[in-house]
Amino acid sequence: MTSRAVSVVQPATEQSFADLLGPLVQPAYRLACAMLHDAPAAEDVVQEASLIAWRKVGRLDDRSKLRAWFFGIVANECRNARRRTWARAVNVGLPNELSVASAEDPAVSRADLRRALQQLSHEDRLVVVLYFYLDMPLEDVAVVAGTSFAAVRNRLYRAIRRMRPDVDIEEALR
Amino acid sequence: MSLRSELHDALDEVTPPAPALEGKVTTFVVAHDRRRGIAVLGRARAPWTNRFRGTLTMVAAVLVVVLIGAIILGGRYLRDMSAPPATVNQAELKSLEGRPLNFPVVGPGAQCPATPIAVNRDFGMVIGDGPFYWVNGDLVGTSTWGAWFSASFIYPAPRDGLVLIRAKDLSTGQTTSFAQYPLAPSGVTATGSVVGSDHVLDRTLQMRREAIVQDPSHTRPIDKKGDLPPLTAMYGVPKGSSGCVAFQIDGPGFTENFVVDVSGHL
Repeated sequence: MTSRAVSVVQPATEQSFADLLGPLVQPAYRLACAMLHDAPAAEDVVQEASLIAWRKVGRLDDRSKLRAWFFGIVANECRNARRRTWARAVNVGLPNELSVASAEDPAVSRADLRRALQQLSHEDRLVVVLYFYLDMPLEDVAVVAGTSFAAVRNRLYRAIRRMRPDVDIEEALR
Repeated sequence: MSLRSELHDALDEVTPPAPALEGKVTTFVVAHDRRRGIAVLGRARAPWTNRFRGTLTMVAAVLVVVLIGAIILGGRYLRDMSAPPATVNQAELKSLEGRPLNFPVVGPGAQCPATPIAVNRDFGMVIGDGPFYWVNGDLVGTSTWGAWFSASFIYPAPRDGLVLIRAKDLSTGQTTSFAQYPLAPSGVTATGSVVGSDHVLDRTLQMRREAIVQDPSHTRPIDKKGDLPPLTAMYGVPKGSSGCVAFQIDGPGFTENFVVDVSGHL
């Protein structure tokens, strides 16, 4: 009886986890920070996503897609975390009208860019973060986002237009 | 500077180094996985159950079908809840609707008279003098019709009575539409006559003229911790709007007016 049960369960060891998902923890953390702009929440997201990934990794047929698959789980957890924040309705955001300092100030400019990013939909923000911040090729971004290459490219165009209406798209994509 | 570099700089500021994270995550996963392993070991089937496996599988399948049916019916029930609550005190609602609207007039090309943000001792940054405060807002989604925004309120006064939320697009002069906030429970209900529908967030939303906060939705806790339901309204701004939206909140013994400028999102 016992041997049968043990064969079903393959408990994680520190080494097995470190070998498989360890190298992805830091990039996942960067992804979560960029999506949430909240480092403690990002750490929680990475923990939860790692546990989910570890439990489901056996179902992943193609291990070469591990990175994109794991980032997809992280992105989903980010969406859930953001919804939970909303549900509490105590997160006082900074409305647009607060930007009163000079736009010449680099710190203000960076804050404005972050705010513009936060105003994007989850799907658009994910594409921007993966492509520009994690420097992933669009093909991999499409896998994480669970959509086609063309759709990802459209999302990226749309997001850039929203964030920087005056920027040349092709220039920005470089 | 390229957009890529700008984004790297901007996002690096909100990504503090977390050198110990990998170790923390590893410990977390290993600990939880072991616990799960123990739980599964505890559930190991005795051999005598083997003969019932077929029957149990059938029973489980039937239960799953019943569960799916319940979820579908429950979903319909929840969708019906988006309709105006049947228990709204119509006389009270008519009385609030009868109060005159005090929206500012904005001339062509004039700047939006957005209400300044105030700092409230209890709730941080707010818009409004109270007791009904605007505390947060965000772009929820866009459609071919326009853009939809959320507005989160705090209404700490545990007083009885209906609260009516109305809004007007100051640039077009049109009444702003409300829809039921679909992403989380909300004590705000879109109500009034249906003025159209729109497809956003993969859902078809009914557009209505106003929204209400009804007792006991804002006074009855939704969990054992005593948390009140979040008050999140969803309002839409049509394409072509300047995004200058005036709100009027009418409640028991008070009327509040404020203006928000969402032009930055359009």
